Amino acid sequence: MGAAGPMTEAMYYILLTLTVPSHGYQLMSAVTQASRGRVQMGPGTLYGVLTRLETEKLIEIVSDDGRRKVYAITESGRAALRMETERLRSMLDDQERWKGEMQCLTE
Amino acid sequence: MFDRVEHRAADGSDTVRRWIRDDISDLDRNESWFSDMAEQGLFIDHFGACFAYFRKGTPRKTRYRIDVLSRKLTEDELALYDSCGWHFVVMEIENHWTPVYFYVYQTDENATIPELHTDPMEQAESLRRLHRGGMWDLCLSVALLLFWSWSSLKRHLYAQHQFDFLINGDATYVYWTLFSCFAVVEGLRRWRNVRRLYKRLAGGTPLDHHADYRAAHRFYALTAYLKPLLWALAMVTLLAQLAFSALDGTRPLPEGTPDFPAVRLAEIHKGLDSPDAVEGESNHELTWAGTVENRLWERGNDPETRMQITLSTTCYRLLFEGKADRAFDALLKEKWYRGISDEYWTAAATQVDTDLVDEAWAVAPGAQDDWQYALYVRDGQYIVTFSYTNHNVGRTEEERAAFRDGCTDKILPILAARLDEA
Repeated sequence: MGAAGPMTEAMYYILLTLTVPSHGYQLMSAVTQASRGRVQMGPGTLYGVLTRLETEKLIEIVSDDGRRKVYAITESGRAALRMETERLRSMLDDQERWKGEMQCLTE
Repeated sequence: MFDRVEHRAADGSDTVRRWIRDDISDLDRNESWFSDMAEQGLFIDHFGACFAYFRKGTPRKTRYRIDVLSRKLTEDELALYDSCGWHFVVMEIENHWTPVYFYVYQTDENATIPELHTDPMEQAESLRRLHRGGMWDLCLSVALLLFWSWSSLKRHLYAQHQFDFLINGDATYVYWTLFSCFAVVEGLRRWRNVRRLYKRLAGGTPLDHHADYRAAHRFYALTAYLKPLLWALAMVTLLAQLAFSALDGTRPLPEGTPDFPAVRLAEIHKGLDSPDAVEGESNHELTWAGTVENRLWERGNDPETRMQITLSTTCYRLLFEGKADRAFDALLKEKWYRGISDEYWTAAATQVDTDLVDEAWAVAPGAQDDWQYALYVRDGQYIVTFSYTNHNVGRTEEERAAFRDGCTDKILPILAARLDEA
C-alpha cells in the first residue's frame, strides 16, 4: 500500500481532508465530517497514517511550533489522491455498466 | 472515566514487579496480561531490564493498548490520545537498527470510545518496520552464531589451533557461542511473534486483546531466566579479562636468573655478560585455562661479527602434567603444520635423547627460519620453547645440524637444572 497501490480507507480520507492544512484534532473531526460520520478514526490509526504519509512525502508539515504540527498534502499526495479517486470512480462505473449489461441480457 | 490520580509513593512501596517473559512487541498478549493484572489491582507503571513494575490500586477492569510508532509523539499528540479516552501510561524504546517506540495506553473497560486502531491494515503497516528490523536482527544473530560456533569448533578439530586452545582455554569462545545461541532463539521468537501479528492485521482481522498469554509465559520462562544469567556471565567474563590484563604486564629484563625456567642469552653466547650488551623485555600472563605464561626476549650483537643475535624463551606452566603432555603434542603438530614441509621437518627436527627432561625436540636452522634454532621441552607441568637466531650457523645441512646439536648440548642442561629448581 502506498502512492502506487490501492489506499486504505484511513489513508484516503486523511489525504482528502489534508487538502485543507490541519493539525491532529482538526483532522480527526474533518475525517468524520468528510465520511458523514461513517469513519471514526482512532488516534493510533491517525498518527500511524500521518507518520507513513510523511515518510512517503505525500504530506508535509507546514508549521511546527514544537507543540502542535500542522500537516498539508503535497503535490505527490494530490497526484496519488487523484489516481485513487479515478480508480474508485472507474470501479463504480464498471459496476454500473456491468449491472446494465446483465439487465439487458436477462430481458 | 479512568481514574489516573494515583501516584507512586516516594519510597516505591506501592509498586510490585513481575518478570517480563514476553517482548513488548507481543502486543496482544501484553495487552491481555496488563488487563488481567489491573483486575487484581496492579496497573502497569514502567519497565526495567527484566521486570515490569506495577502500581497498586483499586482493582478494576481496564483496557490496555500498545501502539507502535517510528517516532516520538509530541505532548500535543499525546493530548489528542487523551482527549480520545486513551491515557498514556508508559513508553518503551527498542532499537532494531532504528528506534521503535512502543506507547502503552489505558482506558476504562466500559468507556465508549473508538478503538485506538480502527483500521487493522494500517496497524499492520505500523508493524512493517518492526518486522523487517526483527528479520535483520535474526540474520545478524545467525551470522554471529555461525562465526563463533566455527571459531570454537575449529580449535577442537584442527591441530594448528589445539595448542592455543589448551594453553588459553575456551571460555570466551564458549561464552560468545552461548550468547549467540540465545540471541538466535530470542530473535526467532520475536520475529515469529511480530510476523504472527502482522499477518493477522494485514488479513484485516483486529488483534485479540484478550489473547492467552499464560502458555507463552510458561514457554518463555526459560529464556526469561537465562537473560540475566547471561548478562551476569558477560560481566564476569569482562571483569575477569580486565583483572587478567591488569595482572599481565611487560617488564624490563630481570637481573640474573628470572623467576621462571629460562636460559639467558649471556649464558649461551660469549661476550654478552655486560648488562649494556643485551636489551629486551619479559612478560607475564595468566590465561583462562589457568596456564601461567612467561616470556623472555633478548637481543644483542655478536662482539666479533657485529651480527644481531636474539633469544626468545616462552615458558608455560600448565595446571597439570597430563595437559602439558597433550599440549606438547599439539605444539609439535602446530609447528609441523605451519608451512614446514614434512621432508624439511624430518631432516631438521630431531627428538633429543635425554634423561634430563621428559621430552625435547630440537630444530636446526633452515626449518622454520633460515637462521633460527628452536628447542621444545616438556618436563612435568612445564613446556618451554626457545628460538635462538644467529647468523653464524653454517651453510650446509650438516653444518646446521651440528649447530643444532651444539646448542642443545649447551642449553638443555642449564634449562633442566632450572626446571628442577622450579
